[in-house]
Amino acid sequence: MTKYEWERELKRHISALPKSEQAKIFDYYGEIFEDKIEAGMSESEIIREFGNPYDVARRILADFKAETPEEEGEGPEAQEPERKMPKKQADRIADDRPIAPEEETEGRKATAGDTFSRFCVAAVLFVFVGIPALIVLLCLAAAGIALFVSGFVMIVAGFADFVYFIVQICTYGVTGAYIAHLGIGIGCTALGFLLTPLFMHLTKWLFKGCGKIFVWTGNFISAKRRKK
Amino acid sequence: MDTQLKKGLLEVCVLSVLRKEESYGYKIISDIAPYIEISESTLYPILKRLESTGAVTTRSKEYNGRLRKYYMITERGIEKICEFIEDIKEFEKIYEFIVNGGRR
Repeated sequence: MTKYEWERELKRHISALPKSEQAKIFDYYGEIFEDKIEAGMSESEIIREFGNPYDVARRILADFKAETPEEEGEGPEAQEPERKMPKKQADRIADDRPIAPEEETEGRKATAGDTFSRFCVAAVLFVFVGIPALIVLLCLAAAGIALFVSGFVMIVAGFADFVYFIVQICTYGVTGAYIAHLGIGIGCTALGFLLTPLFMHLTKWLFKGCGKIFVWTGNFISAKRRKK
Repeated sequence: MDTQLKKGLLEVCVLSVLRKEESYGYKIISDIAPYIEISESTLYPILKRLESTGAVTTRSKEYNGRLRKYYMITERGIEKICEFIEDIKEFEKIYEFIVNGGRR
């Protein structure tokens, strides 16, 4: 293995470390390499002494993991994105699962102008999107409640109709129209019983849907804020 | 040897080398190697730790048309060596106790 191959292999294994840390590691090994060459050693001999790049990377990562504090403050991270590596990520590397190339996170300080323009956009969005969305959500909720109630109303009304016309028959005697009303009453009650579970289900679904929309919107907003 | 113990010993060894004069990676390894097993990958975290705890400072100096990183001991580093010597004195008593099989 040549020095170039060794370094390339090492780089592959420590790619998740901050760039500045990687540079220090390569400076360190590069310097010792030169010193050993001057001391009369051959390239292959030196690389053999350095050891397997995979093992070297594991040591470095284990050490880095041990030195990285558990708690991560929110503030200084933006100013010092290079130094810190999330603990989770360090864990993942040390466990030696496939390493995903890290996205460069660039924190930018928002200026006063930035904040104002974002506020304006937010205000416009609120008036033209937020309010209509809220109205739609309220309407959906109302529909849900109406559906829920209508099932019960059907049962109650059907039953009331039935009882009322029984009383009518008892009072005025049997007529065709009264008998028909009895039938309608019973039918209505039965239909109500049949439909209530369906309506309840629909209502539940509607409310759940609204909840999902809220959660999704919340996530969207907070994700945007984090990204800035 | 126990890794934690070895790491502690190596730290003091590196500091001792630097107490004589400032030094660089390859030379530190060569100076320590006769006494205790050390490799490039063992030395790296030790130097990093010594630097972050303020026991050593560094500077880059040109040598043979390239840059070499030199390590220099600080007051804090010298204190660390002294602390270690005190600790070893404590260990001596414990050592006696252990080799004598728990008898005085």
